Amino acid sequence: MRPHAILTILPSGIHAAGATRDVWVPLDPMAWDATVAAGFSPIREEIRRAIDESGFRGRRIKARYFSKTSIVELLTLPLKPADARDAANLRLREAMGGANVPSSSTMGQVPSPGNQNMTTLLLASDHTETIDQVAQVVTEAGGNPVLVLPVRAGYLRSAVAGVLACPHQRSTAVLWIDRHGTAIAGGTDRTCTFARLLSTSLDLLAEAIQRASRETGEYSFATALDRLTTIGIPDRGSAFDPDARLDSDHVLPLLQPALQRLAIEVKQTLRFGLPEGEATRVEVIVAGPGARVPGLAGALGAMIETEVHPISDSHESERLRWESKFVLGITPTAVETRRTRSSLVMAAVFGGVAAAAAIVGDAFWSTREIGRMRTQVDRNTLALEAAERAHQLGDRLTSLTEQNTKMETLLRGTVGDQPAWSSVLSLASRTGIVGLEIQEITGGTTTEGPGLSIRGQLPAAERGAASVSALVDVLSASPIISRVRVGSTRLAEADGVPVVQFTITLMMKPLPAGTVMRIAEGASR
Amino acid sequence: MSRELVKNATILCFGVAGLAAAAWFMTLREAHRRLGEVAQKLAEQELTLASTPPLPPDAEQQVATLTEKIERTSTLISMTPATSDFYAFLQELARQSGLRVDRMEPSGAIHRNTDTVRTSGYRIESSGYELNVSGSFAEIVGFMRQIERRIGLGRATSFRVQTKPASEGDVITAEITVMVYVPTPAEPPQPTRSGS
Repeated sequence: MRPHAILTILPSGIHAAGATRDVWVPLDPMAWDATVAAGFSPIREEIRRAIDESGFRGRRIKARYFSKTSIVELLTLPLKPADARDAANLRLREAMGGANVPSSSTMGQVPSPGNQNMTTLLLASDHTETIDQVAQVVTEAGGNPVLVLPVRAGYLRSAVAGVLACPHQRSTAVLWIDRHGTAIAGGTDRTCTFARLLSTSLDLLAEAIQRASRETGEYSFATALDRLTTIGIPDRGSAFDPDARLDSDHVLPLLQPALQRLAIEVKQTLRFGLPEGEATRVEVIVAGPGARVPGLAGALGAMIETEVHPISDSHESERLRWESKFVLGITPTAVETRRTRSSLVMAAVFGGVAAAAAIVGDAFWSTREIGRMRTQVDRNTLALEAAERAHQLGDRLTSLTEQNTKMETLLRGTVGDQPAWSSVLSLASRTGIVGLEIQEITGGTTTEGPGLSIRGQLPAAERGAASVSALVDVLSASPIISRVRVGSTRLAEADGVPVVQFTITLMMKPLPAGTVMRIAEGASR
Repeated sequence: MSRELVKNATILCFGVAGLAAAAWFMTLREAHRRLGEVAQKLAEQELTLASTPPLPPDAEQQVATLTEKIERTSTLISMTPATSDFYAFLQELARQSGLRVDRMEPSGAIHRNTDTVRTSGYRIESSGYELNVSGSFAEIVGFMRQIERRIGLGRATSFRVQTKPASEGDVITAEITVMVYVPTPAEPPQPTRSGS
C-alpha cells in the first residue's frame, strides 16, 4: 500500500508534501478566520489545485490543518495506560467544553522506557464539526482523507520524536520550528519530560522580512519565505539581499522581536521543564523546516546562552523512525460512517456468501445422501424380494412340515409299518429248492413285529437236513426279511416216502406305509 | 457511533439470518423432506431384512421332499375305499385275482389310536373283514398284492395260507383279515357358549 500523502492547510497556504514533489498553494492569511467560519469551503479550489498538482488525487490523505480551537498537549500521569487514557479523555472533554460540545480526539502513548509506572500521552482534540468540515472540503476537492489532525499536534509529535531519538544521554531539548508554529520537547536519556507549543513560527519571521522590504520594494510573502530559508538570519552589518538593496540593518530590527520572543519562550520552557541546573547545560537542537534557516540556530543560541545547533542527518532519520511509532490522527465522521457501512456491507456479503455456501453445501450433501440412500434402497429392494421369497419358502416349509407331521401321525396311528406279505409269499413259492412242499404259511404282527411261520416238508434225502438250511439261506438273503429261524424239524413218512417236516419262523422288516405300494408300482413299471 | 454500529450490526445479523433461513426454507426443505422419507424407508427395509429368519440351505430340497411325501400320503388317503364300500371292494379284488370267496365276515371296527385323531386332525373310521378264500397260490399272492397296492390306508393284519392234500386237488385256502382306515378331516372345535 502506498504511504499516506500529507496535506497541510495553513492560513498562509496549502502544502502538499508528496514523495517526489512539494506543492505550495498560497492563501491570504487575513482571510483565514472567514475561511474557518465558512467551513473551509472558500479554499476548496486551492485545495483541489494542491491535490491535482501533487498527484494526490485518489490517494489516502492525512490532512493537517491549523485550528485555534484545537487542544494539543503532552500529559504524563502516574497511571497504567488504560487508566491514563480514560483520564486523558475526561480532561479533553472538559477542555473542549463538556459533553454538550461534540469533540473528536486522538492520543498516542509516548514510549517511556525509564519509568513503567508513568504513562505519557500526546493528546490532540478539536471540535468534531471542524474535523468533519476539513474532511469534507478535502473530499470535495478530490482527495480521500482518512485521518485529520490539528497541525500543531504534528509539530509537538515531531519534537517529542526528536527527544526520543536523541543519541546521547545528556539533557536535550528539540525545537521543532515549522511554518505556522513551533514546538519544544525535552528530556533526558530518551525520556520525554516536557513538551509545549510556542507561538513563533517561520511564517512570523517571513512576515518580518516582508515588512522590512517595504522600503526598497516589497517582497511577496513567498519571496520573503524563500529569502528566509536561503539567506537566513543575517549577521549585524552584513548585506541581506544586494539585488533588493536590503541589508541587515533593514531586516534585523524587524526579526529581533520575533527571535527574542522565541528565545524567551525557550528559556522559560527549559527553566520550568528541566531540573535546576540542567537549563544551562542542556543541548538545544533545532529541527523541522526551521533547521534549514541559515543562522537561526546561532542567533537563538546567542540569545539563550546555550548550545543550539541544527539536527544532524542521523538524528533526523532516527527521529522519523520514532515518529512513526505513535500514529496520531482523528478519523472523520464521514470516513468512520463509510467504514462502518463498508464493514456492514462486507459482513452482509460475507454472511450472505457463507449462508449461500452453507445452503449449496447442504443441498449438495442432501442430494448426494438421497442418491446414496436410493441406491441402497434399490439394492435392498432386491434383497427384500429375495427375503420375501425366503419368507414364502419358509412359510411353505413350515406348513408342509406341519401337514406332513399330521399325515405321518395318521399313518403311524392307522396302518403303521407294513410288511410286504405278497413279496414274501412270492419268495416262498420261488425258492428253487427241489421237493419243497409248503403246507401252511401263517402271518401276523406280534410284539416283535410282523412275522411269518412256514410249515412244510422236504424229501428226506441224505442231505435232507441241509435242504432246510438251504431254504433258510434263500429266505435270509431277501432284503425284506430280517431274521429266519428254524422252529423244528422232524423225520416222517409221507405216502411211503421219507420226508423232513419243518417249521420256520421269520421276522420281516417293516416298511413305512405306502412303501409296499410304491415298490409294487416300481416293479410293475 | 459504537451503539449505532452495534444496532446496525444486530439488524444486519438478523436480516442475513432471516434471509438465510428463508432461502433454506425455500430451497432445502423439500430436499430434507425427501431425505427423511428415503431414510425412513431405508430404516424400514433394514429392519425387515434384519428380522428375516435364516433358512436352511436345503430348504428347496426339503420342500420338494415334503411335497412328495404329502402327495404320496394323499394318494393313499384318496384311494382308500369308504367303509360302506369296503365289502364290495374286497369282493371285487378277490374276483379280479381269480379267487373264490368262501366266507367273509366283519371283524369288528376298532380305532387304532385315539391320540391319532387328536394330533393328526383326522377323524378315522375303521372297518375290517375276515375272508376265507380259495384258489391257486399265485392267485392268493396276487390277491395279497392287490390288498397292499389298492386299499390305501388298509392292510392285511394276519393271514393263514394252507395247502390241501393232493387228493383234495390243487386248491389252496387262505384266511385273511383285512382292515381299512378311512380318515376324514376333523371339524374344527366349536366355540363353547359361556355364561347362562
